[in-house]
Amino acid sequence: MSDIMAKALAAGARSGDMPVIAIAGNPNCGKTTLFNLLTGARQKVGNWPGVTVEYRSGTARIDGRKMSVVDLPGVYSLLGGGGADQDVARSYLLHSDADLVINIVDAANLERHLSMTFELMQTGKPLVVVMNMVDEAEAMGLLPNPEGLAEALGVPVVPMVARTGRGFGQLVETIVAALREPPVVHTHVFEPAIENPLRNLRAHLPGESYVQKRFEALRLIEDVTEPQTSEIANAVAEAAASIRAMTGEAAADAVAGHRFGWAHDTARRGMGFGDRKGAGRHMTDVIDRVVLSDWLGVPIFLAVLYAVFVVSFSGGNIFLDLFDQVSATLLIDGVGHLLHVLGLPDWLVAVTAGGVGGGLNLVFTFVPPIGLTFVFLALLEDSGYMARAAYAMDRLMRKMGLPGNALVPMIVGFGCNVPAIMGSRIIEDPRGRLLTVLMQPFMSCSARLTIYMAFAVVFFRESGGQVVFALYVLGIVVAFLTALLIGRTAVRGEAMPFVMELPPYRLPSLRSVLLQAWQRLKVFLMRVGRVIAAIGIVLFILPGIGWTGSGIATTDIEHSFLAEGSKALTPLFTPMGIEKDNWPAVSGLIAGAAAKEIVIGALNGIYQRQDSADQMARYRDPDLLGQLVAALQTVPDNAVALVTTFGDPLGLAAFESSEAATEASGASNATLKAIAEGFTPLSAFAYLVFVLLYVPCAAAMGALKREVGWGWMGFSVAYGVGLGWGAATLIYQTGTFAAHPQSSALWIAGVLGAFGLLIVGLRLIGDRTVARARLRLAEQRT
Amino acid sequence: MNPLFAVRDLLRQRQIATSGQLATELSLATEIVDDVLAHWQRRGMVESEVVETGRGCGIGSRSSCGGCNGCDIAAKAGPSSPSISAYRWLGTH
Repeated sequence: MSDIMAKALAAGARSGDMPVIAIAGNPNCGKTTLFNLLTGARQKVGNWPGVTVEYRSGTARIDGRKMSVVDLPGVYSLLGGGGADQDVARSYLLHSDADLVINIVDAANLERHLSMTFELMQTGKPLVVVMNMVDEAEAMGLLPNPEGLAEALGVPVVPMVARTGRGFGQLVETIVAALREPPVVHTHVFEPAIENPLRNLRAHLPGESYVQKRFEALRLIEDVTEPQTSEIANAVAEAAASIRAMTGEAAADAVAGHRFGWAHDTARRGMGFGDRKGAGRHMTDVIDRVVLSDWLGVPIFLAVLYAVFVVSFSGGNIFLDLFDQVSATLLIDGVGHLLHVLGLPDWLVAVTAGGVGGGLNLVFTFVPPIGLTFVFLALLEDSGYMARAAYAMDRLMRKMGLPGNALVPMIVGFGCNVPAIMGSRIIEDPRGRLLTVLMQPFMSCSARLTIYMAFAVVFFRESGGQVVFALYVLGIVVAFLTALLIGRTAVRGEAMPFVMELPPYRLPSLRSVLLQAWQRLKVFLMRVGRVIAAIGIVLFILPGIGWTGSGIATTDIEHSFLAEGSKALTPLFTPMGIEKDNWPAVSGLIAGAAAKEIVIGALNGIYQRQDSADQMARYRDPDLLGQLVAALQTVPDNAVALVTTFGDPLGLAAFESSEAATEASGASNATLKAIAEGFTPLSAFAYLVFVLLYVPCAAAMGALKREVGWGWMGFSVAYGVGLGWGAATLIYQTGTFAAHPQSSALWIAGVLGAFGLLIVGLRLIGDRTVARARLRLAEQRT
Repeated sequence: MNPLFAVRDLLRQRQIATSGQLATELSLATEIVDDVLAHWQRRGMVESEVVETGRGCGIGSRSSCGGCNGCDIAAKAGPSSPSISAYRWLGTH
């Protein structure tokens, strides 16, 4: 991020005379929990200008006064060499005019976190230190001494447990006092052997302030940035030689050593050491021995993921009909009736209520299961388990030729593939990064979840959680196999090792979990809702235009452009079970290449349009109150139904026949009913597999192009479409083998043969790359 | 004690060790040792390597290894860790 951008953003964070508070700290130290505690739900989430680092700001009301709070990215150091996160945090702290910096440190891991406190003190900004998680430190047998730490640092130190809000009152008082009379922070003075050469170097550097020049001098001496001019390079060499001569150590080591030594000594003043190992740490060790064990780590992770989706879907099922029917009553029938009463023409009533209202109805229908999924994912993150999942998967991932931290973007990919692809930048090894990027399109994003939910409601009502889980696992398996395939053929090499910090287990705070889940759900509702509503209108109109004898004109849906185009393509999808009458399913897939949200939007637009004659009758004389009462009655009924499904945990009964599945669906709106008529459970599952594996979306394609170039993006798209079609065809043909063994055998053989050819082709590319690299090496040697 | 130089001196003496070993011997938190090792790795003085302990290592047989001294480390890590990350000192000063 440029300095100009940092200034623009700092100016943006300041509104009127509101003070600006920045929160800085290491990852996993409770920074976001503290931010949530200060700002509540008054938050804005976006990206920092020019980079894909998340920007989070909010408004806090402290002592009756509004304040702007900026949550800086969690980093271990401000000096650099750690990617865009560090650049953003450093640039903001050096160039913004924030009134106060709150540095949150983990009391249980104080020495490590104080390294960054040392760097923050170099910025000269007014500083308050929050010593967080003192309860965990105490459970480990440590004795936090905030007064001793405050004395050592010369700034206020507040002991807290941000998760529970303990110490928040003292923090508020400290903030008020610090804003009234900002604590003076003196930049740390090194021993003369380091300080004097630093001062000489500073004189050669550009910068607006003493602090900025000094910070840059430190970065140059520590060798984490390159000198911009030969004059600066000479000055750096001179300073480094002087430090070496005076200390006997290389300059970078002498400066870093001073910082490590300072943190070591300061931590001893801020923390006493009891003589026993705490019960909390002991418990963490005991649990870790199981969840990180070689044999149980991966199965436990899969079991946890399974439980999350089954509980989310089953629990969400209780309220699914309520959300569906209430939103349908209000947004479709209610809006339609209102517009009809206002005297608007039928076509406008139909477009607004059926297209926009129908689309929004679909979005709201899935709020209970998706919201619950987000709550459980936030619980896993806050409890400290998610970091262990990455650790447990490391060995498996290394076998696939991937670094363990490749799991982090994959988990992000459950929300959206685009930040997951961009997030692969955390992997330094180019080969590991390429493989990780190519895996991301197979992670089931929240937009795909909407499609899964719609089909699960219709065909797998009592086993929806299991089906959705199966699709999530299939995505993960395909992602791994893709990395294995490409990593062993076209891009050969070994995975680089990685190191990560495992936070202790924590009892998650309900407030923090709900806030995180709400933030994600809000983004989901805004993004998905907007797209589905917009596409709902377009696709409600498109099926009404076609080519007639007198040129382009309105026509019935069967003769529209959409229908003709989709019908022409439908035979391509027949092997995976899409019959020629079910052309709207093909329309959904075509539209879905732009955004997965559109698949359901497209189906909704078309099916609602096909159903528009009946709809008008609904709008003229709706029974709104009766429908709302009926919606409320679904809650106890679904709760009872949930209990009865415990006897069939895998939900195999729903696969027995399409009639039973359709009957079980209980779908109340036209879209779900049309889906029920157009598919069998088997073809619906094959369709979902295709949706999972083919082109992610236009935005993801753009991100792929940015990260790995046109060539690999093209490969990813073609590979995804081919793999999706092949897998869906294999599923459908295997499932219907008995009905037409000859043609099924041919299709299955064709798909497997094509896959074999792909492997051979990738191996040839790999051989050519290796030969070229060897030739280059030989040329260099001669 | 200065953790940066204490870890360097010990690893220079041992030539190869895990971060857990270094942390125990120096009474430092493993996280600090990891940070220190990351510094020395960046400076090109240390490299990390995966020591396989499942076969030929840590179970008394040296037939399938090159006598890298990793056996001793692996043996200390115990039978539940088929492979572990160790750090090798490369620097000369």
